[in-house]
Amino acid sequence: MRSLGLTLLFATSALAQVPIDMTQAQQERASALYKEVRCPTCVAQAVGDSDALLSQDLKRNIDALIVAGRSDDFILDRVSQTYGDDIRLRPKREGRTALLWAAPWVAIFLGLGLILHRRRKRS
Amino acid sequence: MFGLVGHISLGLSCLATLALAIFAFRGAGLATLRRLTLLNLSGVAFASLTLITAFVVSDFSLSVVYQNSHSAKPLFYRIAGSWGNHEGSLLMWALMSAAYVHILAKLAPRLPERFSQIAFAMSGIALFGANLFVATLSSPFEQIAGSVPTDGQDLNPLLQDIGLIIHPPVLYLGYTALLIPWALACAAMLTRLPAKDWARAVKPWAYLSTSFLTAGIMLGSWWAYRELGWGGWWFWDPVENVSVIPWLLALALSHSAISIQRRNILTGWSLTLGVLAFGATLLGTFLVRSGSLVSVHAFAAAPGRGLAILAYLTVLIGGGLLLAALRPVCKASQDDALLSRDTAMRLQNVLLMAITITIIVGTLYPPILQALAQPPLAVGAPYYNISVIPVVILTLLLMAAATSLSWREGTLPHKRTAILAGIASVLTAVGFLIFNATPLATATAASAAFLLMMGARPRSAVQSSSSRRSRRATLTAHSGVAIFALAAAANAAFDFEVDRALSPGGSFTQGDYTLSLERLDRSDGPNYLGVTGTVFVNGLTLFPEYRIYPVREMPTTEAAIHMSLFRDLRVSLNAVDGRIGDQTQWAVRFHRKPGMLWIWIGSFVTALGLGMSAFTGFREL
Repeated sequence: MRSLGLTLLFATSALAQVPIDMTQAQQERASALYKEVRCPTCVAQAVGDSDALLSQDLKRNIDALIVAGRSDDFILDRVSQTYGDDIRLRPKREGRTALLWAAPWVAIFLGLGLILHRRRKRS
Repeated sequence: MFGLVGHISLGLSCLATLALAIFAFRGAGLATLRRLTLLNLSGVAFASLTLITAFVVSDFSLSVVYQNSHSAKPLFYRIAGSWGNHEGSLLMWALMSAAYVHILAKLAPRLPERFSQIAFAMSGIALFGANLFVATLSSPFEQIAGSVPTDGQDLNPLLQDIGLIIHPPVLYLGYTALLIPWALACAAMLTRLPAKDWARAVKPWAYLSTSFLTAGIMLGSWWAYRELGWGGWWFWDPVENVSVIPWLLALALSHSAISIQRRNILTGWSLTLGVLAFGATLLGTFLVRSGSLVSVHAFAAAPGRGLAILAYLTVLIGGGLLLAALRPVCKASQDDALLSRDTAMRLQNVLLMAITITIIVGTLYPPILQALAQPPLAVGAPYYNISVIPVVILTLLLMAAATSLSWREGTLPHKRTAILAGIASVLTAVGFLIFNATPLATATAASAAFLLMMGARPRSAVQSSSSRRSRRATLTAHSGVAIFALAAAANAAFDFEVDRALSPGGSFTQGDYTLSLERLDRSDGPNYLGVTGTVFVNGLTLFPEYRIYPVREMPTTEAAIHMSLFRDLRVSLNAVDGRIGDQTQWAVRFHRKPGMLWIWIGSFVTALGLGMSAFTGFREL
C-alpha cells in the first residue's frame, strides 16, 4: 500500500517538474534565486543543490514566476509566505539575527582592540 | 568469531592506554612508555584488520556489516565500507591516534624528559577514553540479535565511490594529529615548559594536521562535485563547516608557533589554541554524531553516544582550558614596531578567529533559536558568502603584506614588487568587471592576484632571516592559497548553468552551447540499475549516467565531466520521477564551471606546502 502511494505521488508531481524553456537572462536570474531558496526537505541546502522532488517543484514555480515577469523580491516573498521565513538561506536582517550578521565584524573589532590595548599597556 | 577477536584486541588496547597514563604520570622510562604505545597500536590495528576482514567475507552476524554491506558489492567498496559508518569511522579514529602517539614516542628523546612523560600521560588519558568508547558504546563488533541474515542492507550508494575510499582516512589523519598539540599544550602548562620548547615541539604537528585537513576537505569536495548531481563543490553544509574549524585553528596555531620561535610573542594564546583545535575536532564529532546537525554525514543519530562524546569533550577540553586560565601570565617584553611581521602575525590570529567565530555562529544559530522556541531560521551559502568572504579578502591581503615585512622592525615592501603586484591586481579586477562579475568575486580575485605576484619575488631582507627550506614551504603554501582563491572567484563569477527536459534525439541551444541527447543505453552494474546517456556538447561527447540502487531504493547521478585547463563542462542526467522506464522524463543539467582544475591544483599545492613545513619542523625537532 505504501509503495503504491509513493508511486502515485511521484507520478503526479512529475508533470510539474519538467524544466521550462527560458531565455538566457531569465535562466541566470533563476540560477541566482535557486541559491537563495532552501530545499524544503533539507537542512541548509539550496534548491539548486538538490534533486529532492519538492526542490524540483519549487524551482519550476520560481521559473514560472520569472517567465511571468515578477521581480526577485516578489518571488522570495511569495516563497516565504508559503514555506515560512526559514526557506530563505540568507536570513533577513532583523532584531533576532543582529548577532548573526554582526559576528565577523564584532570579532575583528574585539581582536583589534585587544592588540592595541596590549601595545598601549607596554609603552 | 570476528566479534570476539575484535573485542579482545580492543580490550587489550584499553588496558595498554590506561597503563600508559598511569606509568607516564609516575615517571616511567621512555622505553616502557614506547612499548605501551606500540601495544595499544597493535591492539587497535588488529581490531581494524578484523573488521575489514569481516566486511570482505561478508560476515552478516556483525550488525555493522549487515547494515552497511552487501555480498554483491565490489571488493573495493566492501573494504572502504568498513569506515563508511559510525562505528567503523571511530575505530579508524582510534587507530590513527594510536599511530600518532606511537610516533610521538619515537620522537620523544628529542624533548625534555618530564615534559614528554606528562604528554604521554595526557595522550594515554585521551586514547583510553577513545578506546573505551569504541570498545563499548560504539562497538563495531556488536553481534546481530536473532538469526544471521542472508544478505546485508548495502552501503549508502552515494558513498560507493573512490572519493569515499580516500576522503575519510585523509581527513581523519588531519583530525587525529590534533590530539598531539592538545597533549603537548597540557604538558607544557603543567611542567611550565619554556615557550620556545613548546613551539618547537608543537609546530610540526600543527602543520601536519593542516596539510592533511586541506587534502581531506578538498577530497570530500571533489567527491561531492562528481557524485552529487548539483555541480557545486562547496555548499557550506553544517558538516563541511565543522571540518573547516579545526583547520582554521590549527593554521592559527602553526603560525603562532613560528611567532614564538622568532619573537617569543603569542605564547599564552598558542597554548589555548592547542587545546581549542583538538576541542574543535571533538565538537565536530559530537555535533555530527549526536544528530544535532543533520546531513549526509550523520550515519545514525544516537543520543547516548552523543552524551558520551560530550562528556569526553568536557573533561579533556574543559581541563585544558582550566589549565590555560590558571597559568601565570608571562610578562613579555615586546619591542616591535607597529609595522612589522609581529603585528601581521597577531592580525592573522584575529582574522582567522573572525572566520572561525562567524562559521560557528552561523552553524549554531538555527539550533539555538530552535531551542529558544523561536520561529525557525535557515543559514546557508548566501550568508556565509557575504560574511566570510570579506574577511578572507582581508586575510589574502595580510598574507601578501606579512611575507614582505620583517620581524620586529618593519620596512616597507620592495617598491617594484609591490607596484607590479598592484598592476596585476588591477588588471585582474578590470577583467572580472568587464565580464560582469560580482564585486565580491572581483575583490577576491584582485587580492589573490596581488598575493600571487607579491610571493613571486621574495625580498632579500626577509630572505636572510629564515631557512631556505621553510621559505620555500611558505611560498608554496601561500601560492597555493592564491591560486585556489583566484580559481574559486572565477568559478563563482562565471558559472553557467542550464536545466532542460530532453527526450532521446532532442537538443537545445543556450548561450555559446548546443547540447543534444543522442540516445540512452542501459548500463546495469553488480548492485545497481543504470542508464547512460550519449550527449553531444559543441562537438564533444559526454556519457552521464543515472543509477538506482534497489537495495536502498536510492538513485544517484554520475555526472560526466569534460575537464580542460580553464573550464569544466559537466552534464548530469536525472530521471524526473526517480524511476527508470520507457515513459521516463529526463532532466539534463549542463554546467560550464571555470577554473575547476585550478581549485584542485591550488588546494593540492597548499597541502603540499603545509606538508613541507611539517617535514621541516620534524627535522628541526
